[in-house]
Amino acid sequence: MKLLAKINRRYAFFSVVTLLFGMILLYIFMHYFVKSNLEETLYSTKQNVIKKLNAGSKVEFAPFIEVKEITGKNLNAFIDEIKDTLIFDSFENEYDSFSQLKSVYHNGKKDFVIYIRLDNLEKSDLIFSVGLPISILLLAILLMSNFVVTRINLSIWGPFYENLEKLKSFSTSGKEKLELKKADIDEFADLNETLVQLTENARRDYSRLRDFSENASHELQTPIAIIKAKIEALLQNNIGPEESDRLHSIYKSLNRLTKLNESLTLLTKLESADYEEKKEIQLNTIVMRMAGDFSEIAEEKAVKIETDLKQEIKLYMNENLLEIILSNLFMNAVKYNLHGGKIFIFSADDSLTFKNTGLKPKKDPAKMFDRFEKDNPASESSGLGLAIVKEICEMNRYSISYSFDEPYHIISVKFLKSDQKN
Amino acid sequence: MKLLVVEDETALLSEIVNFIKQEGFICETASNFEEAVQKINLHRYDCAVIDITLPGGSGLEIISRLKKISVNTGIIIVSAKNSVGDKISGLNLGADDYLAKPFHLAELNARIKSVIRRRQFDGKDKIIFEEISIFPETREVTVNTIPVSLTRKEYEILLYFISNKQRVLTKESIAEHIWGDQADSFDSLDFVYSQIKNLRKKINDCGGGDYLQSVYGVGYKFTSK
Repeated sequence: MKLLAKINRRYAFFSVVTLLFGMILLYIFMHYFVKSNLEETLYSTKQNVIKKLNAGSKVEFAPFIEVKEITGKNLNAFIDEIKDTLIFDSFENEYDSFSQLKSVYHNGKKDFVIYIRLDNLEKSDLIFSVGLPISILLLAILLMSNFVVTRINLSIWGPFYENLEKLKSFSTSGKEKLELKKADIDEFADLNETLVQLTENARRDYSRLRDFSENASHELQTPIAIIKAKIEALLQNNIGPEESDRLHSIYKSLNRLTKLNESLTLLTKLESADYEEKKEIQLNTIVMRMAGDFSEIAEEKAVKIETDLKQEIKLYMNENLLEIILSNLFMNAVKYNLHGGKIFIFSADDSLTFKNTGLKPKKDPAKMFDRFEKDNPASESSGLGLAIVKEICEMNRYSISYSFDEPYHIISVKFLKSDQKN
Repeated sequence: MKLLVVEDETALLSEIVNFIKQEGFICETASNFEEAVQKINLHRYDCAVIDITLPGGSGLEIISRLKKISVNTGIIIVSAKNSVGDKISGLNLGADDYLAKPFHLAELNARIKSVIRRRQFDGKDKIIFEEISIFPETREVTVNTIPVSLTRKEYEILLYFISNKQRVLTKESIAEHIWGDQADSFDSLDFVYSQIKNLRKKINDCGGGDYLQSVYGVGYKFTSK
């Protein structure tokens, strides 16, 4: 839930609770006030009635004032009693609620029972007359404040959301520093400062790490080269099969190390100036050329390569990087193919798909592009080929997907529309 | 033939020199920038193998100086930095070839010979080994003057072997020489065997001797016995 929505929702909830509570209080107050006012009127009316009775006149105004003469009653039960009563109103044809003061009066000659009644304000009337205007007011206040708060929030949080977007598109491997919009609110300014510092640290760490890996893999090349030369020199000598076997086994491991190191070097160098130059490339031409290159290797495994490139796709990217992507995909399709298998390469509007026969993968397909994820841990491959492909795709904001549809491995690269100049 | 090898790693330098000397080349060495500059100023070489990262200066600088002094010297760059940028600037300066470390000595040897051939004879000479003649310009091969039709791969393998006579060539080195990085596509190197079997058969069919020896599980050796 968005912060503003959450604030608004809380605000609305508390406003409603407060106002409901206020309405109940108001009702109770008004009820009390009306009641005491009513009683006052009852008593003062009684005094007026008594005055008139003393003057000898007859007082009767039903149902509001009724006076009855009584005799032989216990006059000690001299009481003023107020209670609510229902009296039938023939005019409205319903029972109305009245407050009634029943009083016994003795004026020296006669005894009277005086009933004074006043129309009660109906509860529903009271609620209605109090509740409606207040509800309208409440609603108006809520809407107004919501509107105003939203307006204020938008202008206050605007830079925040803008910065959030910038942060989302920020990449530690990118060349650009994080530039945030200035905020005039202390908390936001603080946050911005922290973020800029944090991302700068991340960028610096990343670049150090990359430099380190790059240097490390470069530094490794020389000792590897020396070992390789020495082993090759030793292999020239007339040595027995056993020693020769051992030497060859060292040599093979060294070759594996070499490949691994080459892949690592490549990974660290993908973003270097070496691969910066971009140009327009006809994808089909390169795919066809590489399909030709790889067909000989595929033949060794009796693997057939079939291409179906209908769409003429033009890409704007570094040619070397595209070749790295394609050669890795080709290698992958050949290497993990079955003897006598097939490779289909086809293109759609903005994608290129490699589909090859192969064994069902044992590993989670989602991890297919992770570094050092090998389906067969004993295999001599570096486990970096597809990771390199993915890295290059990400650099160019292409998406890449893998799926297995028995017996086919399907790898699809989706190019960026804006990269195609049709 | 006189060669200069400029390489700061003496352990590697000595192996390169050992290997090349057996080919009958005269080989001089330099292990830093100054030494290399002195040598190119004093002597003329048919081919120079130059490492790019050197103490005291860049191998690229040596190449540009060398090109001014002696246009005809063939130049092969070897570099631990397998960098496209270095490769392009090196070749632009007039280097003939670029080899990334680590490399197979046999590969370096084959490239040196190829560069010298191109430089000295415009590739027009022929390479003769017993009854086998190779014409690099036309990529033709004859055995006992009978033309043999070889596939591109078979031709490359034969040339690689003849450039490295009497040497044990590992299967890995052969695979990389012929297929380059694509050799990674193979899960085994058995295919090298089938290529060599075909090559041997084609030579034998024309009455050529059986010069291709298998060396245990390691690789092959091209030898006149």
